[in-house]
Parts: sequence; structure tokens; C-alpha cells
Amino acid sequence: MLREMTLGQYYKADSPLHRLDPRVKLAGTLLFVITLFFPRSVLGLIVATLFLGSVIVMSRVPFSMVIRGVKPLFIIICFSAIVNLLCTPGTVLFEAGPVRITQEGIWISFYLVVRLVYLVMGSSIMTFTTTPNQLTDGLEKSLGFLQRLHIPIHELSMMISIALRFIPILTQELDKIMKAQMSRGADLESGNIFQRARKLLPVLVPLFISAIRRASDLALAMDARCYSGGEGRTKLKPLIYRRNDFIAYGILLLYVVIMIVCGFWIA
Amino acid sequence: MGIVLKNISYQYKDQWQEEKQYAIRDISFSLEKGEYAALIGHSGSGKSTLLQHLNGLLRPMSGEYYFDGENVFDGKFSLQKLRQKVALCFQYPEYQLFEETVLKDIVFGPKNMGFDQQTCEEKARKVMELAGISPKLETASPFALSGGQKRRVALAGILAMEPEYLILDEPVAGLDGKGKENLFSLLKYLNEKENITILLVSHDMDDVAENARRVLVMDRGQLVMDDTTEKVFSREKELKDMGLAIPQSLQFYNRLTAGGYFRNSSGADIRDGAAAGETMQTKTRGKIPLTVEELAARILEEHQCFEK
Amino acid sequence: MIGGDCYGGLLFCRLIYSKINMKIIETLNLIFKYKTYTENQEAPEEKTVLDDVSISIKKGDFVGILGHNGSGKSTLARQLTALLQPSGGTVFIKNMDSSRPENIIPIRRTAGMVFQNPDNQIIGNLVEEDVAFGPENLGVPTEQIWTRIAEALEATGMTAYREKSPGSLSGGQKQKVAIAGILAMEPECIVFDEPTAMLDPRGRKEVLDAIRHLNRDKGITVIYITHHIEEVEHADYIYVMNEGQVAMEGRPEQLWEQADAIRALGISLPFDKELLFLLRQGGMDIPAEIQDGRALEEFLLQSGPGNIEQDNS
Repeated sequence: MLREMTLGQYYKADSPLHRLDPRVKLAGTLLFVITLFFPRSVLGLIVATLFLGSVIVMSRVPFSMVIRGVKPLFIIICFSAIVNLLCTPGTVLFEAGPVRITQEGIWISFYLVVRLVYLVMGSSIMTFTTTPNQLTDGLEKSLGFLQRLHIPIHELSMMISIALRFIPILTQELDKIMKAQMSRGADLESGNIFQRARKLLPVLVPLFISAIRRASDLALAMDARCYSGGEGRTKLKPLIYRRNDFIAYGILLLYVVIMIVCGFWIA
Repeated sequence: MGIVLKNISYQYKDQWQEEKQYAIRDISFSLEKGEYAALIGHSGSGKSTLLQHLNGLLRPMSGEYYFDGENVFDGKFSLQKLRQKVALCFQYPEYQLFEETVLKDIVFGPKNMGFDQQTCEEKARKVMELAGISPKLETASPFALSGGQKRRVALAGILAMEPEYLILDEPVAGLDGKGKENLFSLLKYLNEKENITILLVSHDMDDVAENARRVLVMDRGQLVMDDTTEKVFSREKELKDMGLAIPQSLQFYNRLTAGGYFRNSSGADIRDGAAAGETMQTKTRGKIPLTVEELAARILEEHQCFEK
Repeated sequence: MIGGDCYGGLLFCRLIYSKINMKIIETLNLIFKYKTYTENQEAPEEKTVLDDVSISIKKGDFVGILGHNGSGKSTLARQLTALLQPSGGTVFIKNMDSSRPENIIPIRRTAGMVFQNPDNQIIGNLVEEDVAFGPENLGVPTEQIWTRIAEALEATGMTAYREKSPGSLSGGQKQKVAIAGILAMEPECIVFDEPTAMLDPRGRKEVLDAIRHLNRDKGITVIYITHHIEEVEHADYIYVMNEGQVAMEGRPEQLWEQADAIRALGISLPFDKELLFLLRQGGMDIPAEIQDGRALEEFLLQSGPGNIEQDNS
């Protein structure tokens, strides 16, 4: 499962999308997701498809990899599609016992599947083209105004960035501890969900202890490197808007306007 | 009988489940009861993948594994039984401690094997004594102990399953001189008095030379040497090409031999002082010195012969 | 008369000044205690980790601090970089008293520290981002951070890995990144707390070579904490810790003369020193000036049968 999760993974390539300011990509993803939920219209869907398609091509991330990001969510998507298919009232197309499929049901579940798939693809394109650090930097800068309201945005983004760095380390550690306890005869696989949760104790306790030990080591290492919060800190890679970023904002704006037109006026 | 591996191979999958890479390839060897062997090879040579196979944590993609004549991966063999007989001690085993007390942690293994509480505790007390853990520590939290004590408690937890084979991945990593000495003397005791087979993985050639009687060498996923400790370490050049060293005492001995030393004592039949290589040592009648004590004894012997 | 006194006083002051100036780190009767609470006991138990430790470290030296696990050497390392404050006595780093809060950041700038576990001290998601972390904290301007990264990676031989993720590196390489991260803060002195304990022989050698290069060619004072005596064999000065106290100190060659005492402290001797010790104990007459493996080898070959053979032929 963990191996299959492509969401949140960076794909190294040199593309115009990779070079964009993370703030543009964050805003772009947000706007794209919002426009997906505009009223249904075939035209809107075509525009969104074209937009997403050109973004994927531009990103130079292999299409198969983008599709793979959807795989873990396959069951959820199928489930909600089936529920919508069966439970939408309207013009009946097909009926067999309790199962009744309506024309509206087909449309609704079709839109739903497309929206969910596009949502996942859109956001994974962002994470494929943006390193976790750029992402947290982007968030920190975009939400910087919150610092004035005494919301510790710098600290939060530092925390996210460190958490991201430690995920692979702790995943490895989890694997190792599980194997170590299995070789002591621990049975981690059988039983119902409650029995299994209890059986996980020999794995979770060492994992937490290790995480705490790592955290305290890391805190010490940060102290040793003179970390004292966000104040007075400079940046190796400060976020500065360039010409391409403004162009991207322009394209984004154009896209949103077209989507509004397609969604609200034409429909 | 014992452990028999036949042409075991295993591949890991990469992040995208593609581009499979062989971790180990076509490994065959057998391990008899009562042996004390060491597995060497530099990082990434496939040692830990091999260890996990021996313990049934990984399933080979091809090849067979027989334990006491039974095929381990034929579906009928209980992995639980294998793990009890062939115990695996991971690197830094103290990181797997989890219970509130030392005793509870040690009985975790036997309990999983299905023994009742009383039997488990008896086994636990026995191994505690063996591992040199004071009975006073029974109710102590394992997390309150020192590094060396934690390691011993973790090892006791593995020994409490009463394995016949004990596989250890870098058991002395991070221990200081004293801790290391204690652990190796425990292993020696287990091997000699309890007849437990030991397979040791180590990067320290001096430790290997001092303890193991047989050495297996892995390089890029393959088993390239399998012989007595002396014979393996007499192949200095081949080992060097794999990025492995030979014990320091042997290096020193080889240099002295090359310089024409050791001719009066037991190695006296060596006349061609051309180069200290394998040919030379295979000719040596006497044992080649693998530890500093043996080397000192050898030099002293030579010295006395010469004085006369 | 009065003038003479004044002059004497001045001279005295200067003497003291130069003496202090040469020492980059000095501890005076350093004591460190902490309290532990156990379940059964109501009153806290006080543990003394450092007991009256006085050491002084000369600028530019490579100083080894040896000791078995639990001898207090790691705690001492933390005292030397102001990560811990003394419970008694004083620690001076470049004449700055570590017990004064305003000195803490300047001390940490002067004396950096590299820890044992390479995974737990790398903060950045890329090598260059990690090396930048220190200078960023110090408020160094962006362009200067880039030059510092280039220099630090150059000094540790990690330039080729600048854009790699730390996860893809070997243990030894990760440790060199950690060293580069400290170097980028341009410290005068680096304390290494068992930096090779978790590495394989190859990584151990890489890291040791990098550290010796820093000391020799960059003039950085190195304080190297370990229980492997081989790693500090070439140090300028060695302190041996035991039970929170300095049990032995001296230049390496002074220590080898007391092989028995070192062994008694639970520290094993380096291979060649152990061999010399055993040979002398076995009654062989080896001159006192022979102290290492190479000299012993020469001595044996010259005094032994090999030499006779050569003479005859």
C-alpha cells in the first residue's frame, strides 16, 4: 500500500512546470479543484480535460505514473460511482428487482468519477513537479499573513517539512520492527480487526519510542546548528516571482473565466 | 540435516514495482548443527536479504530451503516452528523491546510459541542467568537500562525461544570493548556448551577471525567463498578486490613472512620468501595466526627458536 | 619600584591573556548532575555524570576523548557546545562562559557538533538544503549561503551529491553531509560525538579521512569522542574518561607507555600496541622507542632470521 502511494512524491524532471513558483502551483491546484465542482456541462468538462491534458504534457511526468496515483483510490471511486448510479431518481432506463438505473444516475456517476479522477491527477501533478520543501515554502509564504495573527506558520511549515523527511525513515523502521517481532513468533496477520490492533502493540511501542528518540536527537542537532525559530532567518531559495509565473497566473485566470462561462452561462 | 539452501534467488521491486534487481542470486550452502560460522561482505552485498530468508521472513523467488530435511516453503511447514528453531537477532535488537518489564519482554517469544506462563517464566529466568542479567532487573523497565544491558535483554528474549540456530546481524555494533567481549563470550558459551549453531554477520574481520570457524563471503548478491576461516583469509587479494580486509594480525604476519621472518619455528619449511600469498600459507604446516594473541605467540616462538 | 611593579603586573596580564587565547576550549572543575524520578522512590535520585572535569583544548589541535559507554563523554561533548549548561564549574569556549544565555548562540557558532546517528541530524530534503540550514539560521544573505555550500561540500568531497536526497546516500556520505552542514556555519572547532559508531568500515574510513583533512588543511580544531582507540591514535592529545572523571590524559605516546592502565579502564588497545604489549609481556626485549606496528616490523625483520639470511646471500 505504502509503496503504491504516488501522491506526495516528487518526479525529477526539467519542465516549465517544475520551474514555476510553488505558490503558482498551489493556487493553480486549488482553482482547478474548485472549477471541477462548477455545475455540470459537457463543454466545461472538455475544457477541464484539455487544461489538465496540456498541464500533464507540459510537466514531462510519464502519463502512466499520473494514472498510478489514482489506483489506491480506485475502490472509493468505484463505490461512490455505484451508489450514485443506483440511488439517483429520474428517467428509468433499466430495472431488475431492487436495481434501478436512471439516465440521471449514469450522468451523475460519470461526472463524479471524472471529477474525482481529475482531482487526484491534478493534485498529484503538483506534488510530482514540486519538492516537499518548495511546497512548504510556498505554503509558508502564501499564508505568511497569518503570522501577524500569532499563528506560527513558520513553525508549522518546518514541522511539515521535517515530517515529510522522516516518513521514509520511519517506514523502513516499521518494516524492520515488524520483521523483528515476527521472528520472535509474533503473529501480526491473523484475527479480526480488534485482535490485530492488540497484536500491533509490540510493533507500535518500539516505533513510537524510536520516533521520540529521533525527534529528541533532531532537536539537539537543530539547536547545535543555531536554530531559533523563524525570526532573522534567511533563505537558500527565496521565493521570487519571475516572468513565467505571471504568465502562468494569466493562463490560470483565463481558464477560470472560461470555466465560469461554460458552467454558469452556457449550461 | 540442518539448514540446506539450494539455489536461492530473490529480487526486490523498486518504488514503481519495476526494474527488478537481484538482491541475492543462486545461493547454495548448508549449515550443520554445532557450527560457528560468519557471513561477511560489504554493505549491499545481500547479507541481510539472505538472513531474512533463513528466518522465513522473505520467500525466495526460486530455489529451495530445507530445514532438517523438510522443505520450508512447501506450504505445509510451519514458519512459526522455523522461527523458533532458527532465531534471528537483528542489528540493534534493543530497538525491538516494548514491554513494561524485562521479564515480560523476554517471555514474549516463548509465549508466541504457545508455552504456558509458568514454563515461559522458567525459560526466561534461565536465559537471564545465561545472559548475565541480574534477577533484580526482572521487574525493571527495559527502557531504564543502559545500552549494553538492553542489548542483553533483547538477546535473552530471542534465546528464550530455545533456538537450535542463532543468526546475528552485527551483534556488537555500538558496544564498547567490555560489552563486546561479554557478548562474544556468551556466544562462545552457547556454541560450545549448549550446542547452538551460530551464524554471525560482521564487518569486523578481527572479530570474525577470533570467533568463527567457517566463513561465508558474499559479493554482489552471490556467495563467492565458503571455507574454513584460515582458508578464506588466506585469499587476501580476492577479498581486497571485493572491498574486504583480512584480520590485522594476518596482515602483519604476511608482511613479516614476506620479509623472510618465521623460518625457524613451525613455518620453517617455507623457503621461497617471494611473496606472502595464498600459496605460501597453504604450505604452512602450522596454523596461521588469526588473532593478536596467536600472532604474539608465533613471534615469541620464532624468537626463541632463533635465540637458540 | 612602583614602575617595576606595574610592569610586572602588565607582563602577568599579557601572559595570562596569551595563555587563554591559545586555548579555544577550557573547562574548570566542570560538574554536571541531573535528577531522575523512579516509580518506587518519592525523592528524586541525583546522578552525577561529570565530576570535576578540567580540560583545555588548544586551537588547531586534534583532541581525542576516549571512554567506554556511560563514562560521561557524550555529556561532556554537549557541555562543550553549550547544548547543556554546567551544574558546577565553568566552561569557556573562546573565552565565552557557557552559563550566560547571551553567549549560547555565539558559542554554537564557534563550536559545531556532529552526532552519532546520521539519519537524525539531517534536516533538509536535499543535500544542499541541509547544508544551508545552519547559515539560514544565522541570517547569512542568500548569495553567501550558496558560496558557503559550495565550499563546505568541496571540503568534505560531497560536491557531486549536492542535489541528491539524503535518503539515497550511504551512511558515511550522510555523515559527511552532516559535517558539511556544520562547516557552512564556519566554526573554529567541531565536536564529533562518535561519528563513525553506526558506519561500516568503508564509511568509517571516509568520515575519518574527511575529519583529518579538516583538521590538517583547514586548521579546524577537532574534538573527537569515541571508544575506538584506533580512531584517535594520531591525535595531538587524548583524554580518557571514566565514571565522569578524567582518568588519564596525555599525548598518545605518553599513553601507550601505560598500556596496562588503559586496559584496566575497559578500553582495548590498538592492534599494534596490543601486539607490542603482549610481546614485551612474553619476555621479548624490544627497545622503548619502538611504539608502532611499522617500527616493530622493521625491528623484527632486522633482528630476526630474515636479516641473517640476507647477510649470507
